[in-house]
Amino acid sequence: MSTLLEVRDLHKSFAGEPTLAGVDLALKEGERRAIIGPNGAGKTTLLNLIGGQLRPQAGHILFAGQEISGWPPHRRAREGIGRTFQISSAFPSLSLSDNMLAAAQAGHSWLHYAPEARRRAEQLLELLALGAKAALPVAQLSHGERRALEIGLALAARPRLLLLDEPTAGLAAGETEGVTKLLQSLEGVALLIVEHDMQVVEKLADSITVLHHGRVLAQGSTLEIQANPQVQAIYLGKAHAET
Amino acid sequence: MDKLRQRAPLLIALALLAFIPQLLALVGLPGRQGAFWLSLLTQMLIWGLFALSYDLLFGYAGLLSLGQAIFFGLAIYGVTLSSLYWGFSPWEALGSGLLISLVGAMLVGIVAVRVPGHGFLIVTAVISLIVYLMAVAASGWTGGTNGVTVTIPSLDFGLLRLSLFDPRQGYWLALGLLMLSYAALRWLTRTPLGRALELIRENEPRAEALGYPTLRLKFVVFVISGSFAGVAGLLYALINQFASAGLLQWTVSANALIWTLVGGAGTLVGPLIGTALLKFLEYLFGGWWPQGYPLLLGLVLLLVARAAPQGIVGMLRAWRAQRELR
Amino acid sequence: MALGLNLIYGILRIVNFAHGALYMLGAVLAWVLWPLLGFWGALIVAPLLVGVLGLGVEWLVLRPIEGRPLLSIIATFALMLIIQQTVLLSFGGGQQQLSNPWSWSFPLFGLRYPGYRLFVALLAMLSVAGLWLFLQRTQVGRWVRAVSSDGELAAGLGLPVPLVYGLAFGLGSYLAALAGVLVAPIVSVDYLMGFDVLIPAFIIVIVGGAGSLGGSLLVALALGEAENLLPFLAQPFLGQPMQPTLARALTLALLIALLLFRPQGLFGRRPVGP
Repeated sequence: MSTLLEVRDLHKSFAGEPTLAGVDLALKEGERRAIIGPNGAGKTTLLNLIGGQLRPQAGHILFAGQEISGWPPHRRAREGIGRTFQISSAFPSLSLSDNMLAAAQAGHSWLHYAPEARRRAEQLLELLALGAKAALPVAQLSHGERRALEIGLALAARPRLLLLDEPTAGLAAGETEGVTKLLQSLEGVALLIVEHDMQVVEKLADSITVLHHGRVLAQGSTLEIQANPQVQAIYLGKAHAET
Repeated sequence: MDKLRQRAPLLIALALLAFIPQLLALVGLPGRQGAFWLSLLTQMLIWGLFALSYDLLFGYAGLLSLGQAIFFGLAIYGVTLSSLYWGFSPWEALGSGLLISLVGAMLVGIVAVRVPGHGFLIVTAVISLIVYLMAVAASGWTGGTNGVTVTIPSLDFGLLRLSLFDPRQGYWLALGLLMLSYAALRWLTRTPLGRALELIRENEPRAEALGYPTLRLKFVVFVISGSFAGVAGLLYALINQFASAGLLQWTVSANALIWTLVGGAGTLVGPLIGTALLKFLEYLFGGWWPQGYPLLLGLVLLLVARAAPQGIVGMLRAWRAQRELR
Repeated sequence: MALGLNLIYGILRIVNFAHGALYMLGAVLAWVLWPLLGFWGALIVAPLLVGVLGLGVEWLVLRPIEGRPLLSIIATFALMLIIQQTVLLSFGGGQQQLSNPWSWSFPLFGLRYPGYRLFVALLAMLSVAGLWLFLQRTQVGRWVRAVSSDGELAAGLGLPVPLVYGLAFGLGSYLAALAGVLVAPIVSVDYLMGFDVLIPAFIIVIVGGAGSLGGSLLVALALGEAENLLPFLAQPFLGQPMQPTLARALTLALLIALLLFRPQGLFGRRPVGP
């Protein structure tokens, strides 16, 4: 498997405070990686840098061999980087099907809806089991349904890499299971997941990167990380008390 | 069949509007009084078109601008000054009016859409002020706040020659242009491009992360909407044959905002209804208590902001949806 | 003037159209109160009255639509219309000229510079210093800054966010009216006077950087000076003095150009995170 995403020595600081201080990360095609770490470790910042919402002060981001760190977010999306946001209401006053259609239409004609985009939108609504609510405005959906929609929107353009920012935050146990199953069922997509829930991480991730104070503290398979005493000391021990 | 039934009210309204000059004559209001009502209606159509152009920017793309009057005023000045000083033919004058508002919208747009958040509102207002001040400074040429008049007697369509001095023919010209623009905007707002504008209004970062080039889209909609404001300006110049620096003020844009908001932002009928209603109220108050109109406007706006942010059309739709549920 | 606006914009993230009207209200109240209380009385009482009005307005009108910036902007626009027309209806539309409280003047660069203007400049600086001290040193000031940098976080920490919003709006109104009273003897007072200063005040806040008081003051001073100096500087090129309207248009254009290079303003902090 070839490398899909490579992050080299990434730096980002806000108002002089370093949030990321030299992060390295490599993700293979189709790999599922979880990023964990205490609050303020720089997890969301890392996703924002890869997605293009923020620009780094120094360092490189290579996607499929191309340097993308200067690209605007929409160009990265077109190249195959999809992402979800931690807090997102999608497009609240538009209907669910219009949300999905707009996501699938991105990159197609400005003047006509592509039949292909319509099929993709319907297919995704089926996948998310939200077909029955397609005509409702998103503002009227439940929190769980909106989280599912958020993932659906990111999948619409068939990304090669999906950035997920706490996809299960604030969900009930049953809903968390649904989202986990949905993500497990995806094929041909590399996942980079920021997640607090260790059970979800265990089920989903092939490997884990631990961030702490803007640096990579440890990296390895799920088992290795769980066995790492340093990680246990600063993170795993506190994780459940924290959330 | 169903489609025809849905469109029936619109078609009837159109037919009624087209025959209003005859209707006025029938109910015994020919001559001066009839002409007065007709010219009030014509003004509503002109400003309605201006509000329509504003709605594309504000109602669809969610861009709160106070610079829309720049392109309206530039087109008016383009027509009047070019025919006044360079002896342009009516069609040449119209062409230059449209061109100058298009170029103006591109120049302003390139600056304004880059400024984040409410900076956009302020930058468009300030540019509006700058253009206004420049027009005042060049009073010798533009007539400043007193304005200049121009005489364009008629518009030659080949087979048909419209006399611009006849209120009825002016009315039909305004109605025709408004309908054409309405149809064009209706088509535009239903394309994926129109939907993309709504995405920007609803959640710009999300739209960008889906692959929509939001900055470019904002520029495009700014230019399109500015051009339609320019078309409204052409109409104003032809009908009123007058230009003044006051038409470039940010308050003119604020009026369009108010009309759009009261009628229903993000719908195409809303701005037209809002403009007609408030222009009519302005006329009523004008004869009776001129200072009262802005006061009423303030109160209506407060009410809209607090109780009915969807405007009249939004309220009607909600009411209809509720009735259908029962 | 710009100071109060900056406070409101920086903290509430609302573009306040009523600000010009509040400034005008300060000046009109000064004209009404002057015969009763004298200059000093008006200077103290008028801004207080307007400040209280600002508090009331925030509570009555803006509180219910908090968190919807578009509607809030429109509401302040509505307030502007209402205040202007109320003043027009109760005090008439004529222009009023107030007598200068001090006739004393001093020579400056060969011109007689009225002492009153010096007093206004001093008081403006004092206000900035006072506001700065208030924001930096007092408990309430710290709240205001916390709310300004992250409203949600501040609410999470249990700070009285609604109170801070109200206070900021009240204080902003107070400052607008103070500016109104101070300029009343220099310019002519009428119900539309707020109109002319509103847009320049906006651009001052944006260019100076939202939330940066010093930035506002600096840009305000620069704007005033540039408008006065430009006609003289341009004289050799034009062969005649430049028109004041053109000078104003040019200075504003300069500020817009500045914004292109620094969209967050000269002294504004970069936005923290998305």
